[in-house]
Amino acid sequence: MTTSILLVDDAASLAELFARAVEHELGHRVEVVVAVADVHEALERGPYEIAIVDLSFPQERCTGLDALAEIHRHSPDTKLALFTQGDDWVAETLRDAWELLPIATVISKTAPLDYQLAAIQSVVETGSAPPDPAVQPLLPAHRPEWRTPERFAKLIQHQGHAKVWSALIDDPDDATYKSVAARTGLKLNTVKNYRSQLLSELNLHGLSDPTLREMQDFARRCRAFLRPFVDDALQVR
Amino acid sequence: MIATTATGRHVLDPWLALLAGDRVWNDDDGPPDAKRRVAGGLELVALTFVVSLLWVVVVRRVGIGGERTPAAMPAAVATVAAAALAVRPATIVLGRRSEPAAFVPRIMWRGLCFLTLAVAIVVQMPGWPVVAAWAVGIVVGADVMLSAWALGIEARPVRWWRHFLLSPLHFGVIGALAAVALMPNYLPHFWSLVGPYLALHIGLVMAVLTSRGLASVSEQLDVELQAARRSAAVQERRHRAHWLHDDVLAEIRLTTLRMQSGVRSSSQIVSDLEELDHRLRIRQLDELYQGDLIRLADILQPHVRRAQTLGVSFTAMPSLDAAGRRVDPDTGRLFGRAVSVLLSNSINAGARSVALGIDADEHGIQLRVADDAGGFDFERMPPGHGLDHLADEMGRANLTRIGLPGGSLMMADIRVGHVPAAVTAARPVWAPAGAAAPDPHEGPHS
Repeated sequence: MTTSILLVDDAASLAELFARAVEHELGHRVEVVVAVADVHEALERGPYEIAIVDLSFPQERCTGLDALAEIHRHSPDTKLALFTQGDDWVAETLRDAWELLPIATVISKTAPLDYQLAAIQSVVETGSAPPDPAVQPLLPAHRPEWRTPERFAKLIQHQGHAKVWSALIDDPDDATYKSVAARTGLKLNTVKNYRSQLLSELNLHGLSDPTLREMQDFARRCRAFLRPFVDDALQVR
Repeated sequence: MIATTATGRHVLDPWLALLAGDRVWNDDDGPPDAKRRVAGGLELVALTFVVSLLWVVVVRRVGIGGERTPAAMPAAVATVAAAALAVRPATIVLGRRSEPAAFVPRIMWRGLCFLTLAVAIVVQMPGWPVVAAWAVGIVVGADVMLSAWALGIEARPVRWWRHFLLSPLHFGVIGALAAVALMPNYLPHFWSLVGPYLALHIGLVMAVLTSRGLASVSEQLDVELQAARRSAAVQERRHRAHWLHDDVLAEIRLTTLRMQSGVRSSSQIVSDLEELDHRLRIRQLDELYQGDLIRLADILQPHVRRAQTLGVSFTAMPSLDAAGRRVDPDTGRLFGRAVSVLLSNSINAGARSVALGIDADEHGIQLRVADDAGGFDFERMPPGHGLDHLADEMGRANLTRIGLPGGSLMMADIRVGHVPAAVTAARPVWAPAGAAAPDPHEGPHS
């Protein structure tokens, strides 16, 4: 039976070759998308049984996490697979994806083709596959039950929090209390109080007493999960 | 309540934020940079000067052996206030971390300290507060800059001074002085008020000059830092270009020549390319060793990948909880050697299935490699063997072999900071899938 697969990877030539290999060896249909911005359009042409998504998109202001979240929101039944080098550069994003989404497997881009194809076929047949051993050391032993996309709602308890998160996500420069206060119109001490209010909840996301700059990194990385709650809070005025 | 303008800007907000001090806004209170140490040092010196001056006045006023208690009271109070204000700059100069501070209490006690210091100076030196005012100005200027840097506020001391001069508060003070001067009954008090007023302005001038000086030092340091970064970036690009040219391209050239040297089948070509892939990954690892701390997971990756390409399957791998540990480059290199040698040992012994485990704590790392290959006599290992070199490098006592039915388990104990240490403590029993657990009473060598 032919399975429909969406492959999201910015390395166009490699993605095309890999797609052809999957089609030729496994007999599945693969659609290649080379930009996160094009994922929405591709989803309209769906549905896809499996989405294989790269994590790093240096040419775009987003990561594979944005694509994965969008795919999962659009079609929750689509099996999600990560396709990554699994290096230090994407380690945090990889961990967030693994903990926040029902990732069926992690395929290493550098694994032998046989391994990659076997992992895809295992997902097709059983719904999951063990992560590639070379990437396994970057994944936590257990997915924390409390870390879910819905839990991000607790990071936006009121409009003030939403303003702070929005400023952190949108500020192109490194965030400071002054810059956040200027963007939100909040008092400096109010920004500090809001940060303090969120510390215990941020701890559940692996951030222990983060600085504003670290909160900004987290907000940018996880914007796909934060943004809907931020927008909801800001619209209810 | 904070006053707001028609545009909704909080007028007093930045002033209160500056009064709260830098610790409120430094969330992580990391190691201070040079400019913060300079500002902290300046603040300490100025506070010391003010306190010393007040005590000199006390001594001169009462003489040696005179009754000092009433005369010394303002100086004593000022000393306590100055000491309280000196705590933060002292922690900055010493590079110590301090507990986070709450906004409102900090404003209250710091405001009280500054006010106490000013009043004590006026009381102790009624005719000459100007003499101490310039030093207080330096304290204020340095303190303001520390807070401004922490907040991300661009320091504009001259503008701030102009705002004060044109503020209703300042006009109110001038009006009060004028009223006193115009009323004959209060005229004797006029000159006693002019002293503090002049002291205020001298203090402000010094605060502005100090802030400007520190801002200029900061700008200079930033310029130098950026220049150093640019230079490092250029150096890094040249290094990368060299790496790409001499290492990557040379490796590719070597592989090409090897392929050209004889008729090679497609599987041999694939094998050559996989070997090239591994060598480049090891080179990449060498690059990571040149940096700061390196994660165990990053060291494991090329060796695991190589074993995979040679047909080994992994039945267990460490998770991020253990492999996420970062170690210094020397420890990392030793760990990498241990991984390489133990995995090669398993592959050479014909292992098809390997289980890899790591235990890490603050003292050391234990690497475990269990395989389904046949055993060998660790004691009679021939010299020159990779395992023999590793045993010499890390201390033979830190390398343990346990025979398993149908396989073996090798354990390497690496002390963090790469100091070899004998490991005597029993480690948890651990075995690859399908292999029986080792007998804990069995000797270390088979």
